[in-house]
Amino acid sequence: MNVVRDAVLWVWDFVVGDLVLAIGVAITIVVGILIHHAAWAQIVFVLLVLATLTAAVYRVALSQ
Amino acid sequence: MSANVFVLVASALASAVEFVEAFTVVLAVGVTRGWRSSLVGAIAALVILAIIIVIFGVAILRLFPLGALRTAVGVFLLLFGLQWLKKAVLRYSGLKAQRNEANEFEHEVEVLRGVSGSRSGIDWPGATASFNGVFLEMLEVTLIVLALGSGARAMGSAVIGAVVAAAFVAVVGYLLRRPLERVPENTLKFVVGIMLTTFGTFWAGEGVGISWWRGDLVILPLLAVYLVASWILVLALSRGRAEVPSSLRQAGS
Repeated sequence: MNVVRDAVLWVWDFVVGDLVLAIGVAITIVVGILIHHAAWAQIVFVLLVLATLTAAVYRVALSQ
Repeated sequence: MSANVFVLVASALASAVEFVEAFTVVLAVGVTRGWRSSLVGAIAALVILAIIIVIFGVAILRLFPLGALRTAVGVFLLLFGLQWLKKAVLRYSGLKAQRNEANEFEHEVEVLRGVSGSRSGIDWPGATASFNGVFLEMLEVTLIVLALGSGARAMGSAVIGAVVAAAFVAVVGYLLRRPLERVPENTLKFVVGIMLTTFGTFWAGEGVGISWWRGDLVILPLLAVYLVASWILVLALSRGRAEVPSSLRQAGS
């Protein structure tokens, strides 16, 4: 049962572990779905991933 | 005969691309999170996919809409890769302590002594990343073999092509295993974080319907973009730290 317990704990930690990343990736996916027909959609998609990384890094940096 | 050779070569080349992508994830997870977890994830993916193929056959296409699967795997790898990349950027900019392997080993030994027999011994993030990468890529190999094999009525050639590609990638990957293990872990995690974020971006983008420039080849410029962006973040954070007097930093921490 340790395997199941470890798995459940990990999924919980993974989902709520970093809300900035989770929210950023969710926004990226939703925007991607909305604009996927546009030729420039791939650029916006990558920029949103970069913005998510930047926000997550600076959240930690500013809290120190 | 010429049609069969064409199918064999096409199947081998197309499958090789997918095998390389799957093997990259398995290799990255194995070197950084442990081979046991990486192989458990990869073998579980192969077994589950094999069972599904045996039971459902060609109906697999209806069972797993590739777009939805790509989005799910892409989102997972994006979250996983970005978490690693964030930690790596913080470590390189001095905001988080670098991993000290000797200390980590001692700590791990202490933990294992203290809770002997109560740990599964499987690193779940690693095993899941390995499972996802292998499952998605092997599903794509299955689709390639089915499409080429049934289209040209040469299923045997398509299967042989895929098997040859798998053997070639496995041998090259095995040979690369040792040199990769000698790379410092902090550097390796930085690189792996960039790789997982790149694959996550690519698959999630494909899943939501984005047409990538040059298809699979866009992975290379994506890698470069994330590498440069991460390095810019490291430099910006390092400069910010240098401008704050150490007395203020200590007072604030």
